[in-house]
Amino acid sequence: MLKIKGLKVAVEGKEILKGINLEIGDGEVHAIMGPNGSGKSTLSNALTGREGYEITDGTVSFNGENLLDFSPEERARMGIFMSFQYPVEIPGVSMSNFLKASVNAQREYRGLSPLTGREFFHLMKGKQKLLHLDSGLTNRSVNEGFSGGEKKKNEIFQMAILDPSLAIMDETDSGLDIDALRVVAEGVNTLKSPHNSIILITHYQRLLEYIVPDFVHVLYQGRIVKSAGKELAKELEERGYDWIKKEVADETGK
Amino acid sequence: MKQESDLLPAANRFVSLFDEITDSCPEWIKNIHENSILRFKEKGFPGSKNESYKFSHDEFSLIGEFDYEETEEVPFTRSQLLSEKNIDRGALTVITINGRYSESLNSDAAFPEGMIVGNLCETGVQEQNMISSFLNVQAGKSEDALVDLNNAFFRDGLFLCFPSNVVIDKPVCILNVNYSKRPAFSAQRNLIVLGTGSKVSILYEDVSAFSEKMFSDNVTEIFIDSYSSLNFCEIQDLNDESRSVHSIFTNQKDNSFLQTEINPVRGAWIRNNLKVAIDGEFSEAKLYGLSVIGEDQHFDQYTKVDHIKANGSSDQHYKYMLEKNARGSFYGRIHVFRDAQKTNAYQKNNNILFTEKAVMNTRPQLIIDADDVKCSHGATIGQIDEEALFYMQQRGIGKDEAKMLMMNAFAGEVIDKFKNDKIKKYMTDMVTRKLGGAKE
Repeated sequence: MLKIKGLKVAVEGKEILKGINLEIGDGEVHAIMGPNGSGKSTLSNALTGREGYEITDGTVSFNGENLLDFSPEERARMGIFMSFQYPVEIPGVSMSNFLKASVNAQREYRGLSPLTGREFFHLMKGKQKLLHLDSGLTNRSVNEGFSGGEKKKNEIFQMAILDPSLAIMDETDSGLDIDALRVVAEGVNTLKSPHNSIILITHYQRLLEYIVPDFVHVLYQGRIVKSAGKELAKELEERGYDWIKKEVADETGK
Repeated sequence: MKQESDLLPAANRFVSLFDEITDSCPEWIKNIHENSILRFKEKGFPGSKNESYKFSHDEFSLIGEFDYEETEEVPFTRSQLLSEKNIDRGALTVITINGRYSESLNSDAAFPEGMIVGNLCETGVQEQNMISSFLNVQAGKSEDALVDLNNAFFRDGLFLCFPSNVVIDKPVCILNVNYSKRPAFSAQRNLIVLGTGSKVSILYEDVSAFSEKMFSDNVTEIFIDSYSSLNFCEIQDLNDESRSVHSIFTNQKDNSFLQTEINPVRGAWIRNNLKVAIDGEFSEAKLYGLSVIGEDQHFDQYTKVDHIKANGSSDQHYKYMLEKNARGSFYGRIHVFRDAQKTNAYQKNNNILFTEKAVMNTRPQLIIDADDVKCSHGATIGQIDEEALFYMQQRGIGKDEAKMLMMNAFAGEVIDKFKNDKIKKYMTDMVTRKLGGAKE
């Protein structure tokens, strides 16, 4: 599904990602962990095409297409969804108008006719029920006045509506209490399928107790320095990142 | 920026023009004309030293070349003028040409019972008595040279009166057609009187007949007696060469209600002065305005609210969106007089600039002489929220559509307060139309 080769990304002239190699197959869940400032959010921003993230080298192929050639909205329409670390409040724009515009823009891209008001209503109701969400959310402005937990649940709700082939969860667990974390994780597990892949970007291991990854990668100083199975997350939780930093230092001779 | 002295040639031109045009108004109106040209001669046009016209005076140097408007029969029929564009025009529409009530264009109108409509100078003796007790009562106290200029040059105007207890459910539209085949100066005057217990909604539409340059200096005086309610909505949809100053004076007595909605849509340079006097207890004024200011446009709103009597309230909200090299200005003053205890006065002005070349000046001002009042004002000038834009793009919404969603939401906060559903739709469409043509 996704093939990242030698990806280098600079922000304001400073190189943050220094050659990322990563392959994600259909239906796989990959966790990307790492200490603060290692470049985790830069990776998600580069993949979604945010302005200000300059690709200096490397390629990203998504279902055979050269992802870096497309605008942020086109990447979204191709099936890439990012759950934001800080979902943005948009005063005055109602959740239902926002979602309807999103769904129909994506349908148009795929050559499908726009949903009628009735069809859209049923889609929303169905996903709310599936995720056990409060229906009041959709009557409000996008994220406006939402609590931290509500914002993250709202991201999962949007993911359910848009049904992306690749979901990038950027620090979805940050700022959540254990109950909200469980709701979010259950939502992600409900949406998981053999065709949908997930990148979980997280600082802590606790989310991975609920969403079990197939692979765990450690991002440090702009590179993936270690990749292993789910057991790596546990080891990181117990031992912290220092031993990895030390390994890297020994290798590079610093 | 021009100094007062730079504007002298233009002012002198108007002073000499005064002697060239005939005056067939009643004696007492002629007196207003003659006194006012003297006042104007003394002041000249406001320049850079005038606080209120600080950001809107350069245009005055250009208008000295204009001739005084011609009065001639217009080659349009009533149905042509009503059908051209439909906001809320219909049988209740009063058509004026350069501010003058036209007998022939209104002969087919079905005006509601009780409504008195006619020309300031030509109505009967009974009306003349009424007109003389209202005309220039508010405007005559103004220090504004543009009001003096209007007072010197208006040769007729619209008189619209709703005597006591006249309640009209449908909006009354005033369709004012600015008509000139050559560059012209026009002084237009309206007098609107609501008797006790009346309830009226007025839609004032200002349009251009041709694409010719015009400078119109207009004054509207509105009197709202006790227990009356007025909704006054203005849409200025002039040609791209138009310069217009419109000074509106309102006076409210006890337990009255006023809502104004002032929306410049098109024109090169539009200055609106709104001077609201809450001159009765338990009276309320809601003052709203919205505009998308486009390329080569300069829209300027000056609002002064005087809370003279106690227990009154006022709420202002003006929003502007500026693109390309647009220039905008908002200057809002609230003055709570010493006797106006228990006043609530609020004011908000929010602006969005789409480009680095667009300029907005906003100046909120509060003068409070009473001690038991609640007042607030807030002004913001911002850009489009790039984070929100990216968030929407990440969900698949195209950049232009995302912008439009946000701008409709921004405008919607004011549009939702408008009274008339057709105006709500017209203004929503206007935002979409003006911003839709401005893709990056």
